[in-house]
Amino acid sequence: MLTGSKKRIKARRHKKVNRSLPTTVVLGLLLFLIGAFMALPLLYAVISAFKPMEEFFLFPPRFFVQNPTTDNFVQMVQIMSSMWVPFERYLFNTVIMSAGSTIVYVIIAVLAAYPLAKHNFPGKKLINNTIVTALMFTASVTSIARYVILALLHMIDTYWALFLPSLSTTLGVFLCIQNLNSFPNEIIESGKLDGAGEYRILMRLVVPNIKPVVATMVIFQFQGVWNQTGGALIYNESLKPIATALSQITSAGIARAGAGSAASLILLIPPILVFVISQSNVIETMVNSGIKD
Amino acid sequence: MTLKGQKRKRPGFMTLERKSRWFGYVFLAPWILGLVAFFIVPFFKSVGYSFQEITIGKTGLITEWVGLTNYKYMLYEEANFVRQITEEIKGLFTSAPIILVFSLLISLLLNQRFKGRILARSLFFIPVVVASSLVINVIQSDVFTNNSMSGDEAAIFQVGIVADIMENMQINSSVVNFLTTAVSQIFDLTWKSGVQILLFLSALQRIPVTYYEVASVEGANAWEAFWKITFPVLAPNCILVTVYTIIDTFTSSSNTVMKSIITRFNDMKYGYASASAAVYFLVILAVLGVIMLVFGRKVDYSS
Repeated sequence: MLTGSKKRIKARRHKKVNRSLPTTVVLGLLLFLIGAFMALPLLYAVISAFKPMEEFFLFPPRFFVQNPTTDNFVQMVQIMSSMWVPFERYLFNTVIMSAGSTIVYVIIAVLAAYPLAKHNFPGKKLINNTIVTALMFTASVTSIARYVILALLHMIDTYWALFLPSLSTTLGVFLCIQNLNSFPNEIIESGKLDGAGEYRILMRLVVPNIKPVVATMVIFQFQGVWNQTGGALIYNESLKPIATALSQITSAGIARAGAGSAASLILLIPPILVFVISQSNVIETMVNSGIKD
Repeated sequence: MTLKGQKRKRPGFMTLERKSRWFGYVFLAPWILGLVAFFIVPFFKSVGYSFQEITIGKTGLITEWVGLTNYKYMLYEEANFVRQITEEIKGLFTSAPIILVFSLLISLLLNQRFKGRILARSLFFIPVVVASSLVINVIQSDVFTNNSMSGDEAAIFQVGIVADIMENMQINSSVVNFLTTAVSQIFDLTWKSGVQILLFLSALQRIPVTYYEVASVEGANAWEAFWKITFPVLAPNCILVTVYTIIDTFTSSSNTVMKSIITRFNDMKYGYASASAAVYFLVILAVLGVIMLVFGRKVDYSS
């Protein structure tokens, strides 16, 4: 019974707008071609990881690898095992940091974006303007003032030094507000009429309907934190994130180009995985369904 | 319906308003705390730094008030800065429309139902992942050491494949040059569109399928359906995407102005770097303001 109705819905969705077969083929081909372009950077990263040392120095440089080898990975493992801090430790630091920051940030950002989009209170406009300002101001320049503040809070050389500033990112909040602006007020109103509190309205009515943007926020935040290096904020080697380990490998010079490519290929996998997982959780939401204007 | 609503609201008007305000502040509090500590305070501090000469001493920062010296030096003596900014603005006016149209088209395609849709979507986001990761440094340093290329990631391919193929076809070298720069720019722009595609997609995903069904029942073709259904929903998002594109272009680390600001910062000319950042910020603000004035009004947000 249930599967039957699901099937029907699926079938119904399939025939969206009448489209002829040739159009579909042309569109598909176009998508495939552009998609192939888009895959080139990744392809290059993969190819570089399997390039033997001598092929890095070919002139003119070649895109494709002639004699693929796994030496780079072997060398990478060797370098990492000879490091003073075990590789797992770096990995652990980064995973904890990125996962923690992403989860906490998305919650905080949705909480903040909801009133900024749907409520009226003094100071709302000021905050909205500050968000856009923050997007435009270069983070690298505020870093010295940021350092001073972290030092005052006694957070230099702790996880907090990377974790807390990452929570103040404005991009996610900005996106969420923009998305919520077009969220129908009728749904919120109906929730209020049914006696739901603000928190319940947000969690039960708003969040399930803005999954696409939440997924986008997850991707951005994870991305950003995953690639963070400790910088000057963390000097205890065993607390540094994995990006630092990678830059150490590559900074050792040209002889490490292969190992560096191998390591960076591995580091690419988690953000891509997060993207795929969060995108596949986005079901087509029907925000406006059940609303009559 | 409206009468009922008014009747309900009137007696408790103040409390409802107050309640809504209170909830607003509570929900905002955690994020605002972070924003104040890690953006607002640093922002004003660095504006203050721009009027100072800053050196690092044994006990911490040593600051000396120098007034407008940093700004004067930047605008009158360092000839490059103003030129770099104008060039970036010029570049934006060609690249932003291309990015906008390209990402719109791609997101429309990616919003169709087909097998491997998630895979296709990931494919278009991959350049973003790659470009913001450390891999790009590795790839670039690899290219740098091999030959003196410009900093574009696309340069790899300019040499790598495209030129190879065309030289094999024995095409005139000036034509090859022209085509390869064009191609590398296209690469560059398509790779910069990943986020924009995602933004459009998340808007498209919210258009109910029923709208299109109604349209097709009424006999609308795909073209009409696009202009009557998709486009009105996307219009506000076009502004969002434009704003994002502008900010992203201006603040990406491959931007020449950003590069010179970061160089100044790394050279420990903190005061001077802060002054350049402040000026640059005002420029971005002005560009955004103009864009909003021109396009912002035309979009109907009420739908």
